[in-house]
Amino acid sequence: MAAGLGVYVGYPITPSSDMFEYLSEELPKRGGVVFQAEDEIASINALVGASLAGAKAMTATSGPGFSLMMEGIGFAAMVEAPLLVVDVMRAGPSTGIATQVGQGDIFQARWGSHGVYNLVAYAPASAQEAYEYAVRSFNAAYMVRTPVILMTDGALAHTRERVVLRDPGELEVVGRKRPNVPPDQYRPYRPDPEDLVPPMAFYGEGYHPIAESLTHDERGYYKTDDEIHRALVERLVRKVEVNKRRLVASRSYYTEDAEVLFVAIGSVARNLLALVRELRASGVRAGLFRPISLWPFDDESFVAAAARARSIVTVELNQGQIYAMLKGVLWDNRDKVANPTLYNLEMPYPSLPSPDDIMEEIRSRGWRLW
Amino acid sequence: MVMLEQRESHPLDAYLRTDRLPHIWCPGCGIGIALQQFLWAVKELHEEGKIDPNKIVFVTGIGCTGRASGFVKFDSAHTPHGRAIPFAVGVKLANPSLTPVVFSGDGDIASIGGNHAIHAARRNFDMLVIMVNNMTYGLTGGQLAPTTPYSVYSTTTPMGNPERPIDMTRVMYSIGPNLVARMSITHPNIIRETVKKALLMKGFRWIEVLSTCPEIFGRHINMRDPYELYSRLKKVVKFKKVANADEIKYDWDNEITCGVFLERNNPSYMESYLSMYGLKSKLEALSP
Amino acid sequence: MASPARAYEIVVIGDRCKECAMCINVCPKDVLARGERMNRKGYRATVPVKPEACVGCRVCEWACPDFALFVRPSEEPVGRVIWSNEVEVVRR
Repeated sequence: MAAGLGVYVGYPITPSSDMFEYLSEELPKRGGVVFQAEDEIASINALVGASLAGAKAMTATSGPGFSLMMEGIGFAAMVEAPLLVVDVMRAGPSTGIATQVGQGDIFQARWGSHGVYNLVAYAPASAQEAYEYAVRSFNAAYMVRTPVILMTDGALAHTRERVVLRDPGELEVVGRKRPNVPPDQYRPYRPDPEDLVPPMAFYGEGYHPIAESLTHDERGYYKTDDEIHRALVERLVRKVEVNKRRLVASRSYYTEDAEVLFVAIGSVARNLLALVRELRASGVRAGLFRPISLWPFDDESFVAAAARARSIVTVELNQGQIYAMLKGVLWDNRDKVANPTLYNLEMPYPSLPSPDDIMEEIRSRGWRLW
Repeated sequence: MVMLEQRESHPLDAYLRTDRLPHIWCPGCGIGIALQQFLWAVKELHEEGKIDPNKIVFVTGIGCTGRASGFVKFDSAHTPHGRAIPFAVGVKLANPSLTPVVFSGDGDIASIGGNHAIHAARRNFDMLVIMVNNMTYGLTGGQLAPTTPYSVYSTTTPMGNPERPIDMTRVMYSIGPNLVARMSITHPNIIRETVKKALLMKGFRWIEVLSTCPEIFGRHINMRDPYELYSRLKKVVKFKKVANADEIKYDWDNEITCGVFLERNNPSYMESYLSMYGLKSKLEALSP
Repeated sequence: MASPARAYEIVVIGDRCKECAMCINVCPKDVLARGERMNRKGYRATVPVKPEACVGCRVCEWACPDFALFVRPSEEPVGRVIWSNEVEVVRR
């Protein structure tokens, strides 16, 4: 709401319904509307319509709903509609365990829809971060005109902790880039060369924009030419890449001299931080790298944190998705790191591991990390 | 030699992206006939000062009818298959002063989009839905549609259609939104009058428009000539008032009942929501 | 709108016509016929061959899927087929 949310369209799904219920009462008090659609497919498509009609729009869901929204997320990417989807990850696959925590949607967030496109995804680890990154997610959405995924998890969703709410003006809130030409010269998909993002005319302003899900040229006219398709999809991918610096985020803890670098996100990272502190107290040079932006990944900060590491251990409640990402990042930056060994502490358990649980997992695999 | 003058353009050209004409629809295709009447309705209301075309958001789905969004000069959207109605919902939620019009085909609205249609009608949601029904999946080559008559050939039912078709207008009648009507391209002026009425009403307005697809549906039933198929359609179209759902017929071999079946003035979704939740300025901006 | 005492102008936009012959078939007065001249897309555009017979019912206009044909009142009966660089006129 601090970001200026105008429309929430959702469908109940544990563990995200609390957000929906809260907003259904609070958002109208701030002039916004909340609508329960017949399913998640209707929700995501309504968000695209709402975004193009001029409202900041969002929904919140979990695994099964997230899967249903994939077509719509691709649609949003194709018509460059800024919007926010919160995925409160739960244990999956399929219906899984609605009331337990998961972290298995990391690749899905970026690659879940078909075809060639790009988007931004953040994974906060605290209520404070969830608040601030909700605003940053909307900012990112309008900056690059993509759907943005905010990935929390079932544990974080039910965490109660103190949050400092910012005053108006304290947080940067970004809106759309307005068209700077009259309607007859406006081309809905003509990008500004510096950021590859087209200025956005809303419905009802006389610009007659076409939101076209087929491959299109700058006017939004369906075209099947090789060059036009290629130019379009390359721009959809590159517009996030060229704006990467303004989008990436991460936190590094005790990494200046870390020999063992742990990597995790969300609630798992919080418990891992406690473990890292214990290890430090007992003389182990352990560190934690916590990505906040999953897509695009903050590889620069990661490489800096990993510079002196001999072991890098990803700790995830899945089969190793960040692990798979890091394999690529490390390969690309092999001249900047000290030939570390990458370990996949995959823990596809539906409950949050305590620092002792994590320690026990490491021991049971017989890894000599320090 | 006379040079082409401005006044020589078609009277509806102001509402068309003329740089994209001739359009992609086949010779004799009923979609163009339905679209023409929609645009006449807009033009006449515009000239009477009753609507602002800049507030129309023309939303289509996938299919031949769905291509219409590329030819009209309105704010428009070509949404994924079946999703025109939820898209239109989002548009109206974001800006209640906009006028969403869904113009899509029978496959898009009655099959994959069926659930969305049912719920939008149930809610009496503020939108006009025009379902152009050519009883086939034309763009993709003639597969079965939920509206295809029993026993007819389609590319996915080559031995004949074993299914009963659905009468979406009868379904809508049973749900009971503010307007339920079935029209036919064989009676174009009635389409125009009904659209004019519908554009000024609130709530959910449903207009099915029976249409011809000579190239595919016509070919499947051995009536490939546009006028022959048109005449065949005209024979079964019967305009009637109805007293109950059973009187609405959808039988390609006997009668497809047409007319305005339901016309009500019940509160629309946006009216109810905005007043219940105290959103006064949005309620004032709500149009129609 | 139809009034036998008035005259009408029937205008065909040649490049839009798809030779579907709907207009020719629905006209109650045989005003229209298939033309000889092929347009850019390979269709032979309809020609209003008997504009004096037109009663202004506009059924042809409404039967055209292609925005290729329209009818309006006129001082004298005339048919026009508009091409991109010229207009063919039929007048009796």
